[in-house]
Amino acid sequence: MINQRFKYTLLLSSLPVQPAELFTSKLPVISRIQLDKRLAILDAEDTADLDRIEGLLHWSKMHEWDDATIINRGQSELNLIRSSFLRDIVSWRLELRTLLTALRRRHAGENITPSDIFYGFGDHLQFIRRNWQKPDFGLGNTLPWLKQANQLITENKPQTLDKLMLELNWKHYARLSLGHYFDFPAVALYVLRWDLINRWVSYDKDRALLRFNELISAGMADVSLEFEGKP
Amino acid sequence: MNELLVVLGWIGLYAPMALGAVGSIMGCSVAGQAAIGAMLDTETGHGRYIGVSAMPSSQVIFGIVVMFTLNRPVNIDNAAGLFAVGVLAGLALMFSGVYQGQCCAAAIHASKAKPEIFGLSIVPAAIVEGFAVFTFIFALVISGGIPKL
Repeated sequence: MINQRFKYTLLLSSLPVQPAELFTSKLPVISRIQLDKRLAILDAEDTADLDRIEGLLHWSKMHEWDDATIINRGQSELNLIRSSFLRDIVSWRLELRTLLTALRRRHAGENITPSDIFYGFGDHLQFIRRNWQKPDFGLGNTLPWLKQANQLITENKPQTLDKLMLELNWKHYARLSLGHYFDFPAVALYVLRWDLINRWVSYDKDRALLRFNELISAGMADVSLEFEGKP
Repeated sequence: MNELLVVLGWIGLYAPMALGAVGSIMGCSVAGQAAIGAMLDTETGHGRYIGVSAMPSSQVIFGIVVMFTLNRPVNIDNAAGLFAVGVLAGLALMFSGVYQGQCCAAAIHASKAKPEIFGLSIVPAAIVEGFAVFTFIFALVISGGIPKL
């Protein structure tokens, strides 16, 4: 009992405290290299669980598979996570992404009927299929953010939408952190919150423009326009 | 039956010391880990982290004193009293040590991020210590009623 609840006292005390508000962060409180060094204290099973959690949630660790494969593999990975508390955290985030995907697909003009296959995570897939035309898929009472997210997609405000999603996740993690101070869920939540901070502080308009131009230049490198050099 | 009573009496004699030591071991271990972790993340104030992490060691000292106070030839007249006072005092000291360690770990963790609350952050640990002192004092008081011969 005490061993589990205080299993990672040393590790968590060695990590800098994260800010209460996500959007006040200018830099992550600890670098990923330093964080990974500290996480070496985790035992093998917890390390495997944390890898699974990050593998399921981190965009950079996603593979370009088709929807069915992503869902099947994701579900089997999810089932391998030992703690139901941590499985719920991952499920919640994946469900949030499923709903966001549905909003975007509908905005792009797709039409899903109750008999169509709709891949995703969570318990709301039936709702989404049945209530495809409703702005909030009939889930507005249980998930009040859906209306706001739908509005932001309609108004073409991706950055505000992204901010809304980050804040939702941040608050969800903050709520779950209560009661977990030195155990493995506290470590997992710390890492997930670190990912959110890292994502937020990496938003840089100038760098994004530079990267966009690089990509355009790389894509256009082999393209020669016919009228070039002609009188 | 008499032999069993005598065995229980001996258990009661040693229980405050043994259970107090268990509480101190667990408490100091948790608080000590927090102190070492905090040292990795801070440049100053290391001494006070170690000082706070040693707070749960008082339980074993209380346990030793209670054990010596209870110490007397064990017989069927005093065995039940020794068992009851010794085991209950030991359990109280053990739990206070464990939970004081948790309070100390939390205090170290919190004061690392906000050094100005260091004094206030150790109040919960001091309150737990107060309960251990109650256990200790009243074990001494009540042991006066246990027959010596």
